[in-house]
Amino acid sequence: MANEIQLQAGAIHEIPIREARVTSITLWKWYAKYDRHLYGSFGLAFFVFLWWFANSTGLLNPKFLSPPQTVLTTLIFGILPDGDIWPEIGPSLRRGLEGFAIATALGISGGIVVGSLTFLEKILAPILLFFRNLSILALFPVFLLFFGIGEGSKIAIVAWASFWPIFITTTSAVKGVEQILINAARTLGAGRSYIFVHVVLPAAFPNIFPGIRLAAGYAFTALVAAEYLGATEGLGIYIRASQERFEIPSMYAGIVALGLIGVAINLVLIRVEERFTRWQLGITNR
Amino acid sequence: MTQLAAGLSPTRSAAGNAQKVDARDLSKTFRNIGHGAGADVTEVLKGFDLTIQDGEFVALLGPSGCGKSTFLNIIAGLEDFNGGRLLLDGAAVRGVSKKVGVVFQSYALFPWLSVQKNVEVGLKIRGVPARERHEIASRVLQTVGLEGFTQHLPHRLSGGMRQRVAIARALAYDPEVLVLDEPFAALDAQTREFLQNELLRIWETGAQKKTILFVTHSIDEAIFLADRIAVMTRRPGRIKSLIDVNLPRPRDDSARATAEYGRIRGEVAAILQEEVSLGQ
Repeated sequence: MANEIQLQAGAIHEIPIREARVTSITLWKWYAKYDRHLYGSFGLAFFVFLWWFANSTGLLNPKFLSPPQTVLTTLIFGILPDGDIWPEIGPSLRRGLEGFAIATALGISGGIVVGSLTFLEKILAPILLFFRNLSILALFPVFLLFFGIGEGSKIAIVAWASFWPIFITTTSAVKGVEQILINAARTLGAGRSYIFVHVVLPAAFPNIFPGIRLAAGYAFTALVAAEYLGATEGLGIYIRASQERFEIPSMYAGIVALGLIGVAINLVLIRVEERFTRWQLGITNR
Repeated sequence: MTQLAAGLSPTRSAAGNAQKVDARDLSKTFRNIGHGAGADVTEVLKGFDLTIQDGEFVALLGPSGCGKSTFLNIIAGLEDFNGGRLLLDGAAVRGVSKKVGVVFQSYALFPWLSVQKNVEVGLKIRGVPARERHEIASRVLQTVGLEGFTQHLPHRLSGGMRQRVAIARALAYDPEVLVLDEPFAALDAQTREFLQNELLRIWETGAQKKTILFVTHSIDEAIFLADRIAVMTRRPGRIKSLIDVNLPRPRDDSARATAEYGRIRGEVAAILQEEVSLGQ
């Protein structure tokens, strides 16, 4: 009883003061946390305004560039469960993510092996140099031959395109791992596989990640190209078909949808990166 | 070193003064590759003899570039050698031995692991179960006075604290031989003296005294810590003199003010001086 009364008295006494302070602090904290987003939204709003302006003044031909509000409504209706964009997202996303996952697994493991075995790197150097600079478009027919016209070739193309940035950044990240850390692990009794997994990988990870994010972009670029070349469903084919049918707002809605998927994947990857490189906070200037 | 081996059977393996580390006529050359490398090979060690008794604290002292760190790396199994032989407990050293713990000058802690996890690594590799590992690491961290920092990441700690974590990490799996490569060289003078005292306290109060090889370029550090100081020549390095430090143990800072300390200091300084001036 006595406690309750005290609590109540305390509550009555404290609330007004605390609330006033809390509001200003929360606002300030909110600003500190979101100021990047605030500036970003200004930039975005300005871009949309320019788009709208160019359109309504006839600066750009409205037949070729649909106004933003039309694209937005087309997009919103399109991505509703019964819309026409919705069924295209799944197949594209699946191909993109499957290819990207294969590329990540192969790129990181291959990069670690090649990056830590100098003789292997020397042997493979000319072959790698040749393939990493080869246009993906040139390889399409090859992939079609090997994997057929179906899902296989598309996933393979995506995997190929996103493999290289991951593989190359991993190779150089592994070479950049401080020898002293590897030596320390060796003196602690670590074998080769332990060192790969528990020393080289975590030490190299912060430098591998930019490659992974770059690869995500490459994955969807290659995906759309692959879908252009022959697919019955997918965002790439939707965009192209809309243009052929001269449904220009749909075409732009498809492009925006694809862009938004790219943004979403990048945001997820940033979160993953933060999770894995949290220990770096305070070491680097991030 | 012959005077120390005198009266002892070199093959004695029971606790006491058996030979823990025995290097004979060790040589090591590095091949020089690339532009501006100069001569084709650099002889780092040549005719290097050193015997360390079980439970002995030896300081390895020498001019910079004389190969003292190379010898340490060879004992640690991180580098191989070209000639001679090196025995650890009577068996030839081949690769990294689990009997040897190493402390590096630059700490070499895993920056992504907490202090606790860093100390547990050696135990984890040896397959010690999680609970036991945690207990051992906590106990060792208490020994080095870091029980309040177990969850910190290494970069949150000062240099002296990081080096204590590194020492704890090497002690956690209880190696018989501990080798330290200029561990306190990067620290400020106060921290250095504090950690010298700490190291002695941990070593002198240990249940079973570890054999320690302590590489340093500080004469004072060598005298304060060691039972015996091995002074090296300039490159190609070999042992030039062995000096016994007969200061009573347990030692504390008062040891630094004794006449014996001053005498040894003069002796070692003269030997080093000679080597350095020869090199000029």
